Amino acid sequence: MDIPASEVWAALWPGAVPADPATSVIVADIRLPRAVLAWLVGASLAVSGAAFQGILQNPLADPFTIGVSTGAAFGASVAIFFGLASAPAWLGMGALPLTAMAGAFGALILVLALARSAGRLRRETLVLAGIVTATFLAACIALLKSLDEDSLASIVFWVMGSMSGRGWEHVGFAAPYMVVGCAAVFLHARELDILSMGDRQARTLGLDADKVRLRILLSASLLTGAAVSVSGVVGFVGLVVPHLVRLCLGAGHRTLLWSSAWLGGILLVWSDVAARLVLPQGQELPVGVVTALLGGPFFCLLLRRRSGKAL
Amino acid sequence: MAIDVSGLHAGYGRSEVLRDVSFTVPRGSVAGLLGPNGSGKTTLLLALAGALPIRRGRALVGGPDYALDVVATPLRRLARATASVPQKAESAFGLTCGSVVLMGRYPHLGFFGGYGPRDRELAAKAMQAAGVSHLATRPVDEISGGEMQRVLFARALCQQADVLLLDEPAASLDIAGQLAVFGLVRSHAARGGAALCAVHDLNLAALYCDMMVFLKQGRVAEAGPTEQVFTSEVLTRIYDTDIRTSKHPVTGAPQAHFVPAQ
Repeated sequence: MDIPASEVWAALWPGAVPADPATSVIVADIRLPRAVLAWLVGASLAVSGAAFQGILQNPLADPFTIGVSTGAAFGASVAIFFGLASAPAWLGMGALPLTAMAGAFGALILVLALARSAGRLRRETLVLAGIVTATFLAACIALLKSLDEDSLASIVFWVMGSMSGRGWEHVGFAAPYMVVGCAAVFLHARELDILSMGDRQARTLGLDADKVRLRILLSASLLTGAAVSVSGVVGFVGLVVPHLVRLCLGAGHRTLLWSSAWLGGILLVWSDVAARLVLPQGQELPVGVVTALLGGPFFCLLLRRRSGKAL
Repeated sequence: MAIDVSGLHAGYGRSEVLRDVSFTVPRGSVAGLLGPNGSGKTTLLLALAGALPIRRGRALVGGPDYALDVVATPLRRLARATASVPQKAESAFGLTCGSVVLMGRYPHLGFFGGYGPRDRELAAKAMQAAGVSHLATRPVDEISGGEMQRVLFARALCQQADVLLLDEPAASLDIAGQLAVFGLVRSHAARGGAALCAVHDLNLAALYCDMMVFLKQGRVAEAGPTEQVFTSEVLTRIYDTDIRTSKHPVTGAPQAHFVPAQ
């Protein structure tokens, strides 16, 4: 439905009355929360991606590397499988985000326990533990899908990531975690810089690498868990946005984190707009599909340009 | 004493690299750390910096009015007393040289405090002293190995620690750069600090070090003032190579000459 800008303004401005009361509902209660949520999710994923790339010292890491997102997807699949997805749970929001969040935390605890059992928390063991956990949970999701044909489509659609049907209650559910997670990551910008020089050097500079890595890991996982539980697995934002910022503004984490938050948010808002408008007759694409379609080729282009510069 | 090590054991995983290492370095002096490849020089420097666990023995580092036990001291406090220059370093993402130097101020920051104008001023001064001011805005992955070594040296300078732990700080530098770095190490010692410096170049070490610690197979093979230990007999024994010494024509410091095997 097309709403002229003046009407949108009227719907949002306190005191102003739009011509049609339905417009007011569409703008303020359907489209605005959706845009706000898309912004929050994009920002969280981008900040979390930058943090994961920093602590794992791996440019290919993203918020989904250590399996937290697969945990959330498993939690969501369980809710869908048992028909609880839209059972009223909190302020009119379905139970799905709650189970997804629980799944994310469960996966995180599992990954940490696995990584810890091999001694101290090293980057390599962390990634391996993440892959093991993610693979196992993905198998569990596949099992749920094959057990119940009816939930197959919903699970597949949810895992691809979408903003459709999300409202203020989803914003209210995820925002506190996102704010806390973002603040915690931002406070560690200097530490992320130092960690990029390696653990030994971090220690000679007075930074206990293991301890700080765990703190940042928890904050970034909180961001990922919150984002995934309300939107599904929206790929590429967390991988591509930090790289984009690094290419344009350099690798210092203070600039990187702030700029990633803004760019990630903006990118996902517009990807969501595209997801709503590309298909005819009001059909919607999952926003995860849009970001992957945009992100993949764009990233190739950036890599080519960069390697050209390096040569 | 600036460095006081007694009965120190350290290593990686199951292998013990250093065994029963003991020596002292007084304040105001530059100590050369010498020995064949794999004798444990880097391991010793890492252990003293708190970057590698000390398994047995004791290591103290200190300044004019304090002495810290390396094992018991929090890393942050230790990093205000000792500054390290690693052999080489890279950043996973191309940080700028300026921000790498600024990291030297990290142990001086409060929990919430960021780098302030004083920190930036000290970093700028250190970069000037190390001759890398012109690199401030360049990413570290675009500079040469020698330039990176000087950047890391600048970082150690602005850390303002009493004890410098240097691992081949001049290995990739040209001769002018090497002399410049060792000149800075000497003036650090003249201000009352101390330095322990792994060096491969025997003659450079003999020119700039007041004393020497020779490691061989993880043990101290010889330690003492340069003129006493830098002798043909000691060098030949430690390096398994025929080495003679003579006096430097200008400074009078002992210099080594290698005799090729016939």
